[in-house]
Amino acid sequence: MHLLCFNLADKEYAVGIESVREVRRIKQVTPIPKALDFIEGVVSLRGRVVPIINLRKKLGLQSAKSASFNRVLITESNNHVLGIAVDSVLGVTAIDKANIEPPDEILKKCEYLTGVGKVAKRLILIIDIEKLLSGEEKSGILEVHKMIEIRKKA
Amino acid sequence: MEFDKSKFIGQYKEETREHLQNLSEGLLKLEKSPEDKGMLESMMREAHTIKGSSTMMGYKRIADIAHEMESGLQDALDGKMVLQKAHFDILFKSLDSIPPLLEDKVTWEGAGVARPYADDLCKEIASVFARVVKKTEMPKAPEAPIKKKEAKASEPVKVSPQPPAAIAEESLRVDINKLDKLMNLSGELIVSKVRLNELVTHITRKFETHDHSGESFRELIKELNRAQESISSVTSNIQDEVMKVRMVPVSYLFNLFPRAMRDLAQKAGKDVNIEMKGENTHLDKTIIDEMRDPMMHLLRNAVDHGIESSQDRIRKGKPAAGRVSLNAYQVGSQVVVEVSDDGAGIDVAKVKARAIERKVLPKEKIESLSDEEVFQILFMPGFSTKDEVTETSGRGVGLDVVKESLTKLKGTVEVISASDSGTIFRMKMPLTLAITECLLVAAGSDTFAIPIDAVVETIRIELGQVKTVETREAITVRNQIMPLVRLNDIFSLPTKGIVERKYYSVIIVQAVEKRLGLLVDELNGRQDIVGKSLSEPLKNVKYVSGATILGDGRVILIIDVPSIIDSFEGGVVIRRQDVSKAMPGPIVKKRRKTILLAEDAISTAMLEKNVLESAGFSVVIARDGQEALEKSAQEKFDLVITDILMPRMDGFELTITLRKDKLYKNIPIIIVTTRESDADKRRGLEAGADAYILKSEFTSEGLLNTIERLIG
Repeated sequence: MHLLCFNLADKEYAVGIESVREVRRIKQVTPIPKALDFIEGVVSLRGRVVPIINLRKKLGLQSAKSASFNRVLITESNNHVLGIAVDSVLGVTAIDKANIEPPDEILKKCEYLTGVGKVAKRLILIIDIEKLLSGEEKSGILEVHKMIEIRKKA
Repeated sequence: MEFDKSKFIGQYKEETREHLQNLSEGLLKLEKSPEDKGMLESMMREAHTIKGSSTMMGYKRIADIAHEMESGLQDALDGKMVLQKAHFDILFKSLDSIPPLLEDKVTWEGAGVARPYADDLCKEIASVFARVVKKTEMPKAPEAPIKKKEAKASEPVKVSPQPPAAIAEESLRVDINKLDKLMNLSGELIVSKVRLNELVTHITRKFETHDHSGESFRELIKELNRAQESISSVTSNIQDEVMKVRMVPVSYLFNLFPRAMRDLAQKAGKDVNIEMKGENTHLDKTIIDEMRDPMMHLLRNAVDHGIESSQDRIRKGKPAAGRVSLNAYQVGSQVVVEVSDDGAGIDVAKVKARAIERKVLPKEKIESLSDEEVFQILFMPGFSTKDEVTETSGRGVGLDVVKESLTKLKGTVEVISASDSGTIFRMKMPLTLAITECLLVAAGSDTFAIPIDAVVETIRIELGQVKTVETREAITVRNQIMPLVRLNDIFSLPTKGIVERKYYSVIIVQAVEKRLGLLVDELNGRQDIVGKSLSEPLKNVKYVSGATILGDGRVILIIDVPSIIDSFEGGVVIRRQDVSKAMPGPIVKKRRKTILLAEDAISTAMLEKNVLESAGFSVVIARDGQEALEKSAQEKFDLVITDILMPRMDGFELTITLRKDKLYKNIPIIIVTTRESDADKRRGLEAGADAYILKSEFTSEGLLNTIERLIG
């Protein structure tokens, strides 16, 4: 399968390429004052109003100024279009399904993680966009990173 | 007043298939939890709807089958039984029997194979549900005369097996989603057009100031301008046309009914004439579609419950034939559709008795209700005054559906009824769900849209007028104290740079019967917007009902007035007599006067805008005469101020053109210019300007005094 890999707080993440419609630079984000804190705002995309979420904030990573993201993945699943602001896009990587480690206890801390992809020396956390919005807890991802570090060393 | 049924058959079929699909999905769920009342009820409604539209379209067999299904489901809902496998079997069998009947060419009372089969099926359903098929409900089989009559009735609207090919070519059914996409795209086109316009203007100007290039380049620039102009006009036309595609005359809806009425009246043994008015009123297609079911319920009601029998009518001194009227007309941005009859009117005592019997409210409470309140009971789910179950209505599937449908359409329904003179159901709905007229306001650095329906008026206040009542701010408008809420506070926005201002704009908004004042930084005029709902994760954001995209590509939020009024409790309840008695306060200005400012130098435009806005006017800037002309068509301004030298169209031409317009014939026009010569002055006044102000002598007092003199 193919992954679209991106950078977020110096770690590598990815989403399935099939759910990404396009990658854009976004200007003119309209903030939504009373919305959840990880919502960056809305933008106009070919006549559609698309919500943009700040993935750093959503995952509880160090809070990023909105200026620090420079790319937005426009994703579409079930006819629902969502923009995901990321630090930078690394590109498309082909990965053999066998090289994706399925969710174990660690990953289950974060429902939205579908697995850890291994490509050469890279470890890529693969995100399920549909589950991203339903997931509640924030601290999970930090623990996941810690555990992965520990495992790497072991 | 026959109507051409063949126009609607395609639609009827499609819709029936949809209802069948719902039934089949729902029944599957029901099979797992047969006592789910909500599901039972919605299944019953589905069957009811199929029955209704089939009756109307003359698909008798389907109507019969659907009727039996509905009866069975009703019994289950009433707790007479818990649905067993046998029930589901027969219900599914019934479902399966409908599609072939739908496709059957010999639909209308034609003696096809379908008939005995359908009859048998009906009996089978009834027997499974242990019901007896009532003779009154199924009159056609043995009674020859009625059958004959029905057959005769069908003659003028023969459905030939192959409808004439021409009909198929004249119109095309298009998925509304495709239309929405088209609309989004045309909106986006407008955005691009605006950008292109700016670029072209910019390039042209640059070129004019550094005119050292050759003739060929000059030609190119000219051509660019022409191309851009033609794109502009085509783009605007596209958007207009796409908008229009959605609008259809109400006759599409009304024409469905005469036939159904005839059948209904015949069934009820009553003599009823139908009258229609305002069929040319246009409504959004989506709304027309949604209105079909509620209208049908109301018509059935009118025939079943409203119109009396001929004998009764003669006894009351009315014409023997009853009258049911459909009327549509537009009021502002709303369309009103009325279904009225000259029948017996709603029997308040009977409704009360029924309400007590049904225990919808405590008995004492019901007895103390006013007539209007009693009428509201009619809209409660499962309420009906007609005791007998007939094929056409009863069972209380009716008025609640009407109310539900209208709520969905952002509309309302009210009842006016007088004993023995009849009943009017008045439904109000927006012209289109696609476009909303909004007031654009600025708070902090953001712009918001407030739907104009919710705006009562805009006023200008000085901060000294704001009182503090129990830690909350309030203002007095015509002797009424009204809570004042700052939009910046609601959305926790930073206040704009200018700290001290003399005047502030307050928008008086209203929801239900409550009002409050909304303080904003700036009013930016009215605009028709295409509202878009927000998707997850933004569905339930507080105080926001949706968003829209402005011409320049910015997304702005649409304010949800009811939720603001709800949260800032203590909104003033309107007392009508107070409003009419009260005199306008001395400082309160009723409506902001609007000024169109045509000026190509941005700095001058901003300067003038500032002067005018601080004096309480609302100002719209146009960058040249052409743009001013376009803007003047979108909104009617109270005054026009124009420069003379402008690209595309100069101030003289603008003035002359405006004067030819009926709307602007008498609107004051002020020319503000650097051209000092008397000849120019004369030319300006000859063109029809009311005043001529020199930029060299420009003072804000001078301008404001002139305006005061012209429109004060």
